[in-house]
Amino acid sequence: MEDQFSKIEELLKKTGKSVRLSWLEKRKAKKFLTSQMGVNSSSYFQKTVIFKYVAVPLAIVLLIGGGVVEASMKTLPGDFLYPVKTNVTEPVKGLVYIGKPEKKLAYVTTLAKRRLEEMVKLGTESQLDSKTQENLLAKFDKHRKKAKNIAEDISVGREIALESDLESVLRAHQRIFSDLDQQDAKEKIQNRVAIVVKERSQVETKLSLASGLQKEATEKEKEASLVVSGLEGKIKNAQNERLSKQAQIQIGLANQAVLNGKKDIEAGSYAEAISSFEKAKRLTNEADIVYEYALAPKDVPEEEIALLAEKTELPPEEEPVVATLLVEEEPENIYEYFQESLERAAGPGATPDIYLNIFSSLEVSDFDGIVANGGIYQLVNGEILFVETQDLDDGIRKVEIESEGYERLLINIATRLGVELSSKEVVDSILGSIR
Amino acid sequence: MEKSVRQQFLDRYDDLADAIFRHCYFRVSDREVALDLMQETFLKTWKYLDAGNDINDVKAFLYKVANNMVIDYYRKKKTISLESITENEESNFEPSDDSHTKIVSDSEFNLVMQMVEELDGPHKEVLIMRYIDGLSPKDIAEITGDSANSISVRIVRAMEKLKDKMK
Repeated sequence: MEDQFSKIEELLKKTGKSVRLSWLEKRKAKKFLTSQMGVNSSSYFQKTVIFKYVAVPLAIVLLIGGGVVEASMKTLPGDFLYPVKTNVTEPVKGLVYIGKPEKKLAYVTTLAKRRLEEMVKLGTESQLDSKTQENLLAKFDKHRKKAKNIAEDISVGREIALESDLESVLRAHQRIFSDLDQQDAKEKIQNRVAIVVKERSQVETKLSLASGLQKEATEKEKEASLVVSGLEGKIKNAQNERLSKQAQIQIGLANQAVLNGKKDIEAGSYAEAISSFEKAKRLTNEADIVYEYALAPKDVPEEEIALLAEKTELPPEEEPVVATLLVEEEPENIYEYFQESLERAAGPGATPDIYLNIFSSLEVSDFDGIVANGGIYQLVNGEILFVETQDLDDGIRKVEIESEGYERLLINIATRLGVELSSKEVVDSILGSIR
Repeated sequence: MEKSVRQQFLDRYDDLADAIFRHCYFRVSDREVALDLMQETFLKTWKYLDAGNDINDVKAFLYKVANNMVIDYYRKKKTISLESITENEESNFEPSDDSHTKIVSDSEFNLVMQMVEELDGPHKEVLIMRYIDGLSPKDIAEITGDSANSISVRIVRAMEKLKDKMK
């Protein structure tokens, strides 16, 4: 009887656990709640003292001790110990990397990313005002410049990796703030995307003039393949199909970039290869950050993880594929196909306004983040604006969308329509739907 | 250092949103409705606090508010009488397909809920609160106004009835 009781109990508990809020639902409801809660409080709150930001002299911090310093690491702007975090704890932790430029670079880059993460945490609780945005982004800029200086002293390969990394993080956060419906923060980050794209382009020029890049190109290939397969593995058994599809779109593009990089290595074009591998990492990293933001798996309790592990079914063993081709088929490049199809309809060198006229179901937001010659298109207050990021030689027409821009355009449309970019047939259906 | 009451309340939201949502879901069997009711539960509780009232046990208070929200929902819906919330009904639970982790299969889920639904009101309620909401007998007593002892007895009797049904 006891056994049966335990069995029923277990079944009921499992049934209960099978119903839960997704992190996105929980966050949206919290956002609604905080927006209704208001800032001004009744006399009830006068019972509690709310500590605001104050400057904390170093001498006082040293008197307080290590426990407080560590506790400061969990704080956000507006919390009492936040100045301790940014003025004491973080710089002190960085001291251990003196004389170790690679580790110092990694640490300073982490600090830059941390400022953006703090913006998101505040943003999700509707506590990100304009002043705090400015402060955090100023700190981000400071860390970014410092990281850039360190990377310049190491190698051009490190420089391009840094620019790529920061570009992916900024683009991801641009999407996150768009999702949070915080246009102000989104636009500020967009401006930084434009700056980083410009700097990346300058570093790529520098890279093309460098020599002895073969070893670096091979290492980048391994890094890129690892990063892409890492995300592929992560979303393979994902429960949320919609989020996996979004990540898959960028993974497809990243895989294409890896293939291009391999071809470049074979052709001895090591600088181009490095650019391609960095692109693959950039796309994957951006997709990963957005995926993690939407899922936030940190709330899953240990016992649930164990239950999930029990219940995960292994995929059936696949029949081995017998090779029937002697020559490896080249995978179709759907992004080139898309670009060619659009250019056939609108003529080469068409700009977003031309495409919007020809394809009636295209949306202005589809062109957000599209890289063009000499700049980048950005969505600002519902309009697409061209933001210039570099001077070009005479004869090169600015505003013309680059190949990378067409790739991003296809991703944006596919994401909006919720389709997976798996084949030319899918691209054809997308082209049909935007006419 | 003391957190603001607002932040303390939001911390409680982080702790209890799932549980309150689950509590509503197993009574209205509609995900969107359960989400709305969960949200309203927290909002109403906040407004009660903000008006200067004290709450000794926020968790119990939230469950009571959630119960009232469910009753109000059925009153407004008017497709089912107030009494029939506690009467035997056919289970129409449909777990959303992409928004919950498939720890149990749909068939197991439906079987269990069918059996629970066939119990009478007080036994059904106490079973849901104990094993699905994860509340202790003391928590349940706080919400229902009964003694912890009588809740414990009711739980045992409810399990016996469920066991009989599953034979």
